[in-house]
Amino acid sequence: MTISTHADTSVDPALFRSRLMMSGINKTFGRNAVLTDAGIEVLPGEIHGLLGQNGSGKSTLIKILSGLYRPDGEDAVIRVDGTDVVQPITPVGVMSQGVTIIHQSLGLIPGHSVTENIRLGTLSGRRFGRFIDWSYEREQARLTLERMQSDIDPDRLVDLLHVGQRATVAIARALQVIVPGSGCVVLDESTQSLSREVLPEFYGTIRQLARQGTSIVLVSHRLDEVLTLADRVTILRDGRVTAAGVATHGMSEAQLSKEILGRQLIAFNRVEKMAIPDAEPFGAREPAVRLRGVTGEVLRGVDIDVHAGEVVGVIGATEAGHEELPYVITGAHSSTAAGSIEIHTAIRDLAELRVSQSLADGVVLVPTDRAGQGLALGETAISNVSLPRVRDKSRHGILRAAWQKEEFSAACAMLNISPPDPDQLAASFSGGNQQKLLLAKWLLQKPRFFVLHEPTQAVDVGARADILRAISAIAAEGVPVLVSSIEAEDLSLICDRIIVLQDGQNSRELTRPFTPEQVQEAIG
Amino acid sequence: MSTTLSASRPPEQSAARSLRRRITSRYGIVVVWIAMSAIFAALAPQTFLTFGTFQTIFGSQSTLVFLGMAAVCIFVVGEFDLSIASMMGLSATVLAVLVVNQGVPEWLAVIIALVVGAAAGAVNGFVIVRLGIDPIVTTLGMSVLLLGVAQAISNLVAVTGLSFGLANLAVYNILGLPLAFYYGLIVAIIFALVLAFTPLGRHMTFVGANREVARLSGIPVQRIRYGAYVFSGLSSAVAGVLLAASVGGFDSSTSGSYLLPALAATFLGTAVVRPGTFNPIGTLITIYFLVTGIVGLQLLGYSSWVSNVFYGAALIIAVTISTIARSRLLRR
Repeated sequence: MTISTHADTSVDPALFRSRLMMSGINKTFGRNAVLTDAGIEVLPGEIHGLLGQNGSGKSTLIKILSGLYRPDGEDAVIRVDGTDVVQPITPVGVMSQGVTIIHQSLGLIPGHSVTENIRLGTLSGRRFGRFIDWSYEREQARLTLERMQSDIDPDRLVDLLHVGQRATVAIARALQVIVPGSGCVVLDESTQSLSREVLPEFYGTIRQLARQGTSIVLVSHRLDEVLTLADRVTILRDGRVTAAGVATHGMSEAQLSKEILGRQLIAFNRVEKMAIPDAEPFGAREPAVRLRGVTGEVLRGVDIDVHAGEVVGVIGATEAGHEELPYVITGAHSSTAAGSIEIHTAIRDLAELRVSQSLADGVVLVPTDRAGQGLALGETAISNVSLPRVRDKSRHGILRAAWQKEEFSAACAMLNISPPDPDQLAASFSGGNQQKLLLAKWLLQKPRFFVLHEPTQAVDVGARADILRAISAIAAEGVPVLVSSIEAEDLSLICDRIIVLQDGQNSRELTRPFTPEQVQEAIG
Repeated sequence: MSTTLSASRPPEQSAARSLRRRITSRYGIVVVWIAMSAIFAALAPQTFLTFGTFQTIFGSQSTLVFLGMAAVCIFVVGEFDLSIASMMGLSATVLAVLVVNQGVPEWLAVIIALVVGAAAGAVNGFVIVRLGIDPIVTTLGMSVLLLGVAQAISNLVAVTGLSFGLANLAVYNILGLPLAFYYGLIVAIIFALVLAFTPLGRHMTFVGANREVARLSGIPVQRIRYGAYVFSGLSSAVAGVLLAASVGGFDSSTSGSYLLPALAATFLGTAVVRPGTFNPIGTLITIYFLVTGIVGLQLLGYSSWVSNVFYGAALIIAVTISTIARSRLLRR
């Protein structure tokens, strides 16, 4: 593995000895080679991005570092500060050498205080056989938080913290084992749960850490984030390192995407729209869907019209109501709702709307919670995709395989689902491909009104383009589409109109053309 | 993504390996069953290799088969029911008491017994599905409650005296095996077909796999869960009627001993046919596999404690195997 050292890296040459070094890592699952001679080298005090598409092997590499998986063969080298990590790797083992990993879920325990969460795991080891000295523990927690320049009250319940603070607590816990100015923190997609407005705070924390000399490995899908934070990046593609420690200085998102995808990023524009026969503006026509007085826990009387073939985006800051909207208007919400939805002359009262009624009207919801609401991960891909139609498509009460296979191959062709194996469990697909399965499941329903919530959440660049294109394509067929998302860029690419919600009410409306920056500004 | 495809999978080799893995993972128990029978046959050729033993193994388990079907139905939709044995006991007791003590015509008593079982299942369903109470707590309570009710209506004594006519409903001999064996076989096959080839079966599977996904796909989740509890009660009632009819009566205090074998077989059944999945055929095979082991060991001179040891061990091994089978499937 070669390291390209650039003169402009801010690392002191005297310290040019790797903090974390992994090389010659091979890993095969069954017949799939997930990692081939992969590795990463992280210098002291740098922020190092680890990038790659879903399924490129970056999570596997991190799991090998944490000891969850064992690398194949004898060539694997894993060193921290020049010392070989004790084999077999255990989470406690690597931690004692100064490497801590913060996972996507942050791993905080609800119902317990900040102190308890921070000191968890460090409590018993030091003080076994005696009662826990809480004043000492609180002091330790406070010191750690202070080191991160955070003023979170150590006695607060973590449940009461906002997401940005929660991430800080998770990092604080990880820092327990790190001596200031040394060690390595791996953030495995940790920013996914954070909303946009808390990111600056989070980034500040990260930079602060790095300035003190701790190395940070940033595993992320957000290219803008990596470009903002990282000094250098390592890129994996199909389990191989395609860029080892390349400096990010002067790189653009497009260049980065190109490296990740291994091909030019598809210039996404909505040529498909040209397929619509009448070019008259949507405003001049009768809307296909009318939402009136939509009310829920946060929503307070939102009105939205969606025209045939139009993509309407709904965006807002946290607690603005855009997260709730898709579920309220499709009858998927469990708590009280009010208002109405009018589609093709049928008017439904949202208070009494059920999912089955909504589906019968052709109103289809793609939820954001893939594992919880979208797909049964323990079932096969094909049965997940065909699920909503098994009753209607079964003649004489017999469920046949032919139409399901047709649907599945149509789905694979439409969305580039890989691998195109219908009998694999949904769980064994990568995140991006699971999202495509979910989208296919509902696209095949032939919706008359397509409602999506965060359709590109936690998917890589390639999958994202496929998904956005599919949404554009169904709108081009004349289907009204409503997308609720906080991804300003996605919305700016596919939407004809964007509605900004604030405190559960319509706040602003943007009409094409708009840039991601304009959309982002409209929220704040 | 072009290199992923070329970098992996040599096709023929993996096809042969996957076939072998398929057989070992799906029918491992059948292989063990055959091996076990061969050992018994070698050790006790005079007693094990007789038609009588064959009849004992295949003729005596229909009660467990119907209880197993009740359990499979409940587990498939992701629910839990500890009251199946008590519902069976209640139905058997109702049948015996009505006919012997009250002089109710047998056909009517059979119908009442089945209705009682289904009603008990409906009560479970109401409390769990409608009121949202934890299924384990609810059915544990129901299990003890129904046992008490059965003991009350039978005055704590064994009630016997059902007619031979009624017994023929269960034990009439066809090709050396009682009718009840064929009932169980037919119900298991129909159940398996429903699960695999009907929209209802697919819906049940998804309700069990992820209730929220099922709900958002327009599946009537609550109705399916409720229906599973009613079916569980009904199937348990059939088990009770067959049991009471075949032995001519019932002792209400004995029902508890049927719970563990039924659950053990259902869990072990997840290691057969469709690994990691509750399925009727796997359960049927497992029931006869387990009883073969018990009968064989008893013929070798071990007394009745072997059945407890065997069923208890089977339950633990079953859960272990199916957990491993599932994780392997995931890693494929």
